[in-house]
Amino acid sequence: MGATVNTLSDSASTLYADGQFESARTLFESLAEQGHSDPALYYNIGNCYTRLGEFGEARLWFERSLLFEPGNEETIHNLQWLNTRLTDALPAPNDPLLHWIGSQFREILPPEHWGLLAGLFLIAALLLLVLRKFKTPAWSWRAPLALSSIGLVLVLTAQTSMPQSDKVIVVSNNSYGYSAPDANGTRILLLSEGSAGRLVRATEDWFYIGLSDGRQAWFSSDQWDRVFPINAH
Amino acid sequence: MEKKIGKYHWLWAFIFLATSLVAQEVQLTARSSRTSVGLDEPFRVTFSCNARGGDLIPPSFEHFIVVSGPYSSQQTQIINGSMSFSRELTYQLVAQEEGTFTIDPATLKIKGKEFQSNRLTIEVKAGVRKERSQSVPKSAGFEVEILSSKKAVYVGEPIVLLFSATLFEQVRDLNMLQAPNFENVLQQQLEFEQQSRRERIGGKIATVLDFDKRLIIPNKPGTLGGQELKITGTVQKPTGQRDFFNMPLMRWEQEVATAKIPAVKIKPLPTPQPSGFSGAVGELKLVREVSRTSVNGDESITLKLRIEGAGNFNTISVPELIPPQGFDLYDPKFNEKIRYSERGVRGFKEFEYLLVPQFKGQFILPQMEWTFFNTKKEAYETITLEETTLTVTGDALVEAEPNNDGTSPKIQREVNTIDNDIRYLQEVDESNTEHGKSLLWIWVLLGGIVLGWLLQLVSIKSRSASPEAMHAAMKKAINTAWKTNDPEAVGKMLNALEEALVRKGIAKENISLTVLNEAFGTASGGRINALVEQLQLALYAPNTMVSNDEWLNEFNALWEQL
Repeated sequence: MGATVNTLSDSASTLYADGQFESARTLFESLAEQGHSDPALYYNIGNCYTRLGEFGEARLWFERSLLFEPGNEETIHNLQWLNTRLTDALPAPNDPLLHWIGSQFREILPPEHWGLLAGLFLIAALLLLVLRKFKTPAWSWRAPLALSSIGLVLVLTAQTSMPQSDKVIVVSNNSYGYSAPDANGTRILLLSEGSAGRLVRATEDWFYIGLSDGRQAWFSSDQWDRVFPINAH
Repeated sequence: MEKKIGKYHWLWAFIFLATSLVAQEVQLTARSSRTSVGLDEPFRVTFSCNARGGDLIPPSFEHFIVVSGPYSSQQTQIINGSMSFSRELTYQLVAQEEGTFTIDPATLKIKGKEFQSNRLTIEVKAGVRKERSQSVPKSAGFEVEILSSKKAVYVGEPIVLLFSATLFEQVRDLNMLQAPNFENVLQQQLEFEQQSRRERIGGKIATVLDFDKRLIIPNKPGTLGGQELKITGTVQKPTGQRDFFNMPLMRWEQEVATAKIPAVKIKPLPTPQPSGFSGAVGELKLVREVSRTSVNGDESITLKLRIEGAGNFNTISVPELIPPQGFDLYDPKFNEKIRYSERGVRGFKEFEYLLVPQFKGQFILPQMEWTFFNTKKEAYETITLEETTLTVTGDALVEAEPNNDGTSPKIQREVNTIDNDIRYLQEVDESNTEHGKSLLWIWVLLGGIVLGWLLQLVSIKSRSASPEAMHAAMKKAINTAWKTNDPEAVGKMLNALEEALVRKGIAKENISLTVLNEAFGTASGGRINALVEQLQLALYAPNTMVSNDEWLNEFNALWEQL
């Protein structure tokens, strides 16, 4: 698996350097399809889309990269660069509080590292409890209690820092918002490529999306993509 | 008795009449007031039957128009004891065209049976042509005509048609029987208020009523054609008789008037047509408006491309803008305002573009050409919009590189300067496949911890209830009381010792040196006895008590043995 990832990634990078952005994008996306979840990979896909002029898709992949690695300066730069080109796109609404806290934790450590720390503390606490129970009952309970408490806090931190997002982005040239999930319904607004919103409700073919200006409308799900979970094309 | 006979008499008469009616055969007949009529001459067709019930269904009256009706009537006659019944349905018709036509039979459906009337044959002849002339006296009560604003137009050039009725007599119930159905035109009814005026026509004063106005745009060359206009009205006419006061007697007669479609020649557009011609006809202008020609990098330009004037706006489309390089061009907003009036179709159609500069420099808004057919000049006309230079300034954007041939720069979305470019690729970590994986194992571990603590709690509870724990708790309590100078500290210590000895099987009253020596050995027994005696002495003679930490130390030392 490792060799395949390296080979594909190197080939994609070479194609990108040669200006063959479409081929590079296909290779990078094939890695994402295989389940390789690396913010750097998402960032690279975003770069390919940027070079291809597909700014909606580019924004989607940069947002995905930032979701896993919120503090990555290169991704932040590229997203800012992109936003200056998406002048008529609606910005994303603010994240819910829990998602924001999670991103702050992720900025410090990735969720799996938080989990590892929590595991260490919990294992230590468990060892002490077992020893106290079966070997040396005279040992104080203070040490295992302290370790258990820290472990519990770390578990909660790890869980909160798991990537979560209800953000959706327009990936087609534009997208009409309807008053009802029906293409023959009343069109109430038009959003351009790269506009973002929060997914409120989803049916098979329609997304009910809340926008940063407070409006809500039904949009065809073909024209939007969710930042998370990740579905490579 | 007479009353009774009278009642029976009427009953018998009713039964007799009813039986005779039922026995009668159903008859349905059709008759016409005339079998030969003029083109605009109304005539009556009556269907009569002798059956009471059932549905009488009239024919479709093909080639005729129903001017009025149906009027229904029925009558019952008793002649020499024989009763007859008949009912009639009458229509007033007018022919649509010359010729000999057959009116299909009417149908009567009664008790599941169908009866049909006879067919009628009507010969329709051309009536006397009624010209509106100042000299010819009018015999008709009214007439109608369609007036055209133009006698010859080009395809796509609008014409206004005015529908006008001239009333020579008192006319009431004036109705449009058949609207003109123009062929190969686009038609628009104009907002119009009916107007009437008095005019002298052929020596008679007549009322001229303009009742409708339409705008039509022909889309095929030839002559304007279609179905004629027919209107109907009830005209007051003298009967030729006079009443008791020598006043002429009048009657109301139904009349129909027809107006021919005006002869308007529709000319084809001259050939050959220029290559850029897209079908626009009229007196038109193409306008390009730029909100500003010099912008800062963070500003945008609004560009409006508009066709305005009078012409066939329903088929005109605004030409697409040739976009300037160096700008992002967004989907345009479409505006239009079209008014249909006697002066034709006037207004504008417009695309509104938003141009966002991408680079610093000077950019050319390219020249545009648009061709239409000018109906006033009767020739094709090409409007040329000259090049316009747009200047973009500001530090936020990079300079666009000019082409070698000096023409306007060829721009790509790629930006060459590092500061304004996206960052390069990142290295993909091959081991990085665990992002966002579930933390289930942590929760399992947490469950283990909870279980461990539960086991600990069980242990603590059991220990807290054991004699050892109670023993230790007692020692702790005595020490605390002693250190805090509790006045009852001596009593507590004595009680604790006595209780401990009781647990060892030595009753309170049996405590003595001998017993203690036997139980704990000579050394410890003596020490316990001494401590008990000292405590008793201190308890019963408090004045002799001297605070002595040695008692506490001795107690702590002996307590473990107890």
